[in-house]
Amino acid sequence: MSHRIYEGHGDPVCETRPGLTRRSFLRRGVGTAGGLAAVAAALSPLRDFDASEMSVAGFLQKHYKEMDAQEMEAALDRIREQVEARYEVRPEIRDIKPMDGVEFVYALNLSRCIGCRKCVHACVAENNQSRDPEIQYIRVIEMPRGTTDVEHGDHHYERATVPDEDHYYMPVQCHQCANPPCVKVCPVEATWSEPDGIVVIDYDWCIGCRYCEAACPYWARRFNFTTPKIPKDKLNPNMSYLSNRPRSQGVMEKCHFCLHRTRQGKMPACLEICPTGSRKFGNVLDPNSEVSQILRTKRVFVLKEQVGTLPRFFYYYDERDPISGYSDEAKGGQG
Amino acid sequence: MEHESGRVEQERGKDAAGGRGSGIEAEERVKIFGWLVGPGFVLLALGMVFGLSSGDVPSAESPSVSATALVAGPLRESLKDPPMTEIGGIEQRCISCHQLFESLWDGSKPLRQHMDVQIKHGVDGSCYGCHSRENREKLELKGGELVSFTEVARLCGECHGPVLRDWQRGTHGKTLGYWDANLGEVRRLGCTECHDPHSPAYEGIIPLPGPHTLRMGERLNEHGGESNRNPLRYWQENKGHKAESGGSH
Ligand code: SF4
Repeated sequence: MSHRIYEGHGDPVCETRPGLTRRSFLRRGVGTAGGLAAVAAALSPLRDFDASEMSVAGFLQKHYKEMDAQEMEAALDRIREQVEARYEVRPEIRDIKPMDGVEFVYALNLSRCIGCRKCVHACVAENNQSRDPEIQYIRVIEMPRGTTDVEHGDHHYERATVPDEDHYYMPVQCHQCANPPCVKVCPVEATWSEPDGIVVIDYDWCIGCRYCEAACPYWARRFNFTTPKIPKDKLNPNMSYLSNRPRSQGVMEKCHFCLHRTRQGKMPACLEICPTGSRKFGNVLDPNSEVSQILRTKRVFVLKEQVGTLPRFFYYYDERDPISGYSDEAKGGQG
Repeated sequence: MEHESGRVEQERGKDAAGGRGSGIEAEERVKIFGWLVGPGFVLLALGMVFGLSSGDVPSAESPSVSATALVAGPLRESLKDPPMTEIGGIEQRCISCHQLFESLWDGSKPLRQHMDVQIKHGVDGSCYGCHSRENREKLELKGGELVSFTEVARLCGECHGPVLRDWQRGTHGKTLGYWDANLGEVRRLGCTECHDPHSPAYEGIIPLPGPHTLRMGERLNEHGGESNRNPLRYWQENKGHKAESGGSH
């Protein structure tokens, strides 16, 4: 815009301003206009920003680790009110702390998983993920037998029934790494590793830069590009601050081992729904827990071991694979 | 701003070379101009954030997953001790019939009772591989010991040793309830709470719908195309837009 005004006045204008030649002024004007346009374009998603998600108290809130009990209670009150205003449901929300002497580990039996995707949808229901656009924490990958290279996998399999005998199924979700790249890249420390091994996100602290999403080798993190939408009757009112409370536009989210359940001794939702018992969860510091038994007695591997993330999510096999039909005898129903 | 002042230096150098004016006044003007750019950006940002909010209602068409598909729990109900079964709409004990009628079945004829039982299990398709011929409320181990239906794992483990071992350790099967006995009941499901003892291999089941989300890679299977991969499918439909990649199903 500005450069046209000067164009109308012609060269004399420039000549009276030594040092600011017409060309340089044009260049600067065009540059500024371009810059403004770029910023406007970058900010345009904010036009859909839902102001009801914002509050001064939320904006001024301290970092999770710096809040004392009173400040946390105030934050929870604010969230209760926001959720009630939005979904007409009074949530049971708490800030549930990790237990002493507990480190969580997940184990998944690839010999048993049939790829039914029940875990995916049970997770969505439990953790208040957006239904529109859809956000899912668990990806079930249909893999050709004989490889663990996920590049050969397919997320979009559609079959009359599963399992398909030429494939096996590998569900992937956040691995809660002991050396988490996502935590290292966060410029504002909105995500960190808790003493029980769960990598959490403070949704009120996240600035939505998506560095962590790029850093995760397991594609475990999800970004809210728009205001997440959940039907009012589908909202799970049993919430905690660091897990399944509703998120707002522009923040990152991911699997947190259902910490609002597991920190109270319960099993994660994906485990409870699994019809095949492929999913195992527990405390690895307890030598008699199911996961400890698996790590001791089963053939276990972690995904992309070479990247050094030290996942707390293990895959294992049975000696004999009931799905592939390891032998003729197996087809007689050794499963 | 650093960038801006760098450019100023450049311009000044050029002006000096061209022998035009002192350059001081120009610097002043560029500074003023630069000072205006910053607030301009800030105003623009504020306008975007607070001026044009459109507050969507949080409702959404949910992907078609029925609530019944997501009820957690055992897949089947296993028999208790004593085992009960429904006959003629009434819960009856097995011995209600079996102590009246002696079973004469020798495996040669088709069943006339319990016709829902399809045996796809065992080596000879005989009932007496597992059930006791004398006491119908018990199962019979290979050595002749009778066990109740609640101890079915001992019977299964006679053939499926490694699976029994894994189940005892907790590395086979499903555990509901709590992950630590000190916190609540650990409920490790029994063999027949998942497997039908007469047909224990899992039948194929219908998978729940696939993803319509970001970061799920290309479709590889024969259905091809992008038609089912549109993360904004519902959003676009709700807003009255036509889904760009035809993803409406
Ligand atoms: S619910 Fe269990 S069997 Fe089904 S896809 Fe998930 S892990 Fe596999």
